Amino acid sequence: MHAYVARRLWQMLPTMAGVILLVFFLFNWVGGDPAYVLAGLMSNQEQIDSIRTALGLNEPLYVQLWIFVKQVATFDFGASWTTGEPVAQLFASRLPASLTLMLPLLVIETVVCLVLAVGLSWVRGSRLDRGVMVFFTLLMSVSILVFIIVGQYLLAYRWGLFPVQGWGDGLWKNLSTYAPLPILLGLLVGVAPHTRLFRTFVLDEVDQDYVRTARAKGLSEARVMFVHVLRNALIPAWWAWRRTPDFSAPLCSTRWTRTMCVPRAPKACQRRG
Amino acid sequence: MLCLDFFAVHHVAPRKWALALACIASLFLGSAQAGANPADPNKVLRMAFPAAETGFDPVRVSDLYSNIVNSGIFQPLVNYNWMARPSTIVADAAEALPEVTEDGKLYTFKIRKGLYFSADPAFKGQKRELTAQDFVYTLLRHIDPKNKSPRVADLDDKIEGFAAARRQAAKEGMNYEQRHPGIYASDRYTLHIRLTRADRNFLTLLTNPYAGGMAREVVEAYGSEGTMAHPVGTGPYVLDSWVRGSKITLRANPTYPGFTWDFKPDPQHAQDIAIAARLQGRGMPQIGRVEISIIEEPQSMWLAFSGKEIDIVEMPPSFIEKALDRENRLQPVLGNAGVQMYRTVEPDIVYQFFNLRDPVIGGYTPEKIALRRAIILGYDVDEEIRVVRKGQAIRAQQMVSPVIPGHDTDYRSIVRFSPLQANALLDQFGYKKDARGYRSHPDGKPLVFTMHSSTSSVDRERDELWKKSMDRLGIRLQVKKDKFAEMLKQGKACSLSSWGLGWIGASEAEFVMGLLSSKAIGQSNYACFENAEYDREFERLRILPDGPERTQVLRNLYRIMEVYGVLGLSSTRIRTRLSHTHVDGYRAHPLVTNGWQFMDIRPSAGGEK
Repeated sequence: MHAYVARRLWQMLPTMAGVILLVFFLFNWVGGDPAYVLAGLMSNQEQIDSIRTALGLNEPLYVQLWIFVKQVATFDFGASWTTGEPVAQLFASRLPASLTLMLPLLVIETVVCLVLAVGLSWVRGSRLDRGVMVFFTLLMSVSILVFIIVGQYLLAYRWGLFPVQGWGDGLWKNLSTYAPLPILLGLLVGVAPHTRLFRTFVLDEVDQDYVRTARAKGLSEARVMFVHVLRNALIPAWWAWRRTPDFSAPLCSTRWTRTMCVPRAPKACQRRG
Repeated sequence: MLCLDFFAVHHVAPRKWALALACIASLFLGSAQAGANPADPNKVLRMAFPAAETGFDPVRVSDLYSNIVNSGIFQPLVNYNWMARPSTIVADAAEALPEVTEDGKLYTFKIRKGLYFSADPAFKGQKRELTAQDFVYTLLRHIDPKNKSPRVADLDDKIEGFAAARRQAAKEGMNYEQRHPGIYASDRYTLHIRLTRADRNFLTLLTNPYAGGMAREVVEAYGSEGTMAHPVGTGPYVLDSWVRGSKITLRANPTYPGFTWDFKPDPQHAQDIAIAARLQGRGMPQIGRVEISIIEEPQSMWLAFSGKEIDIVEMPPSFIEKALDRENRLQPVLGNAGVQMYRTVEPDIVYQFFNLRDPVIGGYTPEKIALRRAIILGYDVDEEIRVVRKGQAIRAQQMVSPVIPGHDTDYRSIVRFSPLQANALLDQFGYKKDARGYRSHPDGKPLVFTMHSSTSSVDRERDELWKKSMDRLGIRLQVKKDKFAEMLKQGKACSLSSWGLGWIGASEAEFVMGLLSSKAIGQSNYACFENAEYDREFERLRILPDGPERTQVLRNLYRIMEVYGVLGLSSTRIRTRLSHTHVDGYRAHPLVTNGWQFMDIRPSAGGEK
């Protein structure tokens, strides 16, 4: 076991090194020179150079890269270039908001999608199953923007079920007032693809020998589906959760949090330093 | 329009009776006692910013939204009169306007006595009075390289010894104890600022929150990092809570002495007259709490306003048709709901510059000048205003916005949109068309005009218009997209051929005209225009007092710019601001970013606030 863990960690190193290099060079070359933006439209070369010196941008690239590696290794990401505040603190101040949305959504979506998947597999091929699959395919074809814009307009503005936007201080206030609408819309976006995916996992299992054995033992269909089949279908489902980063992507997307005005990771965090 | 109908029927009607009562109640508001902040904590103003703030260390930020908050917290020496048109500067934390001596180079301010910073643990329980040294400290912080002040370019060549001190501080570290030759206090309440040369508009710089008094012990207690979140000033408001990029809450500063609303409105401006009639003599500030949400999406912003989650809104341009009809009048359904509208021409200018050093369109020879002038004549600014800006802008005839002192109402530009004239000009100078209808240079090389533009949606639409306009002239257009930082870098190096730039809050003729002075090449003269006659006239502009001679100098400058085809002037924005009926006195000053202390909230009988 220890050897396994050590091996996995060892294998992680090249991946991390690759990511660090990629991020470093992306922000260096694609991001443009931040000193020009900080110095403003009116600045002259000497003023820009003094900002470059203050930011350490005049150091050779390998020195800058080494600083970045040290920051990553020690989890000390320094202070933001724009606000001067420690980046870790900026993250800490916003992370709770992201988690308040993501965790409930993750739990609700998993439960709903799994129950739907098992239920639909139970009645596989029926009109209900096909109807729901057709409906979900349609749902998947709708852009996420439509859900957000229409959802906000109808549910919040027209029907007044939720506030149009906002975020409070207390966890309970956020969970009960501000989070439900984004969570509901997240669920609407995620329910179709995930139910379809999980349904295929369940269908892979229902023809297995152990299922036939269970039925032959005289177990109820509900017990067969929700205990035997579900437990085995959870294995690929778990991998799907882990391997598809886009499961939580809608929530991290700027559009999402921008529309509902939920605090999110600051722009400054995306810069090095 | 569905949402507007709904808005009128379901949200506003039940409130009307309450507002009637509120109006009566407001008549009985007591007048303020001098020396105590009269703000009522129950009067809450809820508003929104369309972009996130950076932070509240005025020395380190330059974005508009951070500055709006900072203007409420930090008190400048001088500020603009809230109502006067054209804008005039009055004393704020100073007792009076400064005494200017040494041929306009030495400014001496007397600081008002009895102004106190808002309470903070850094003061260890003591009341802390604002002194001249606090202004010295703020200005010196711009020199400190640690602060990476974005305002250095404003101050560098203006204040005596500023640039030298900055270079010294970069080498040896900042020494705040050392007496600075250009910024110093001679006693507790006397501040001196010495300029490198006489400057007509130096005072306008001091109206900014970045020149407001800051307490050194606070900055040192919280450190460079903490000051962003711990602004402590002497202004009417203090920061109450801050969730970055989401919500900013301020409350009235109890140590702020308050003032009486006493401003003379422009006799031509009916709305301002009405506001003044209601508020005159009232003890200010009245609003005790300001809650600012960051709402970046225009739909969310509009729904938040029409759903009464916010009290005032600066209409997002993409939703302007929700507020205005085709004649730019307030939509009747809003008017019936008691929504007030305040429309202003903004102190800004948008233009397209043409780089005089560009190998294709640059140069001072007649055929190059003709090419640039043809491009300018052929671009349809009116269509840009109609389509891209949805009619919410006016065509610019000159660099100085109509709301800025120095604007010349009689000046008419020689540039008129005329593809016919532009084509004739190109034909005359030998830019021949090929079989496909595209022109080549007089020497036969193909002509391709390259323009830079950002990735914003407004710029995408402008690109289309440029393409359409250039096709009419037979000029091949190539649009290059790049990052803002990269374009700034190239622009300063004179290697951008053409780019659309806008200056907001540009406050003086001298500032905008300086954009073409040859001394500003490598800084703000992105057109890299060099002309001895222009430079000479510009030097005269810097010293001439208001009057016909100065007006003539400005006209000469405009004319030189037009003749050489340096800038294609585009437009000046018009902003529409709406407020719900319980907000009293919501208006905008062209140069004051923050007017909370001049507004009031009518108390609501229904207790809805």
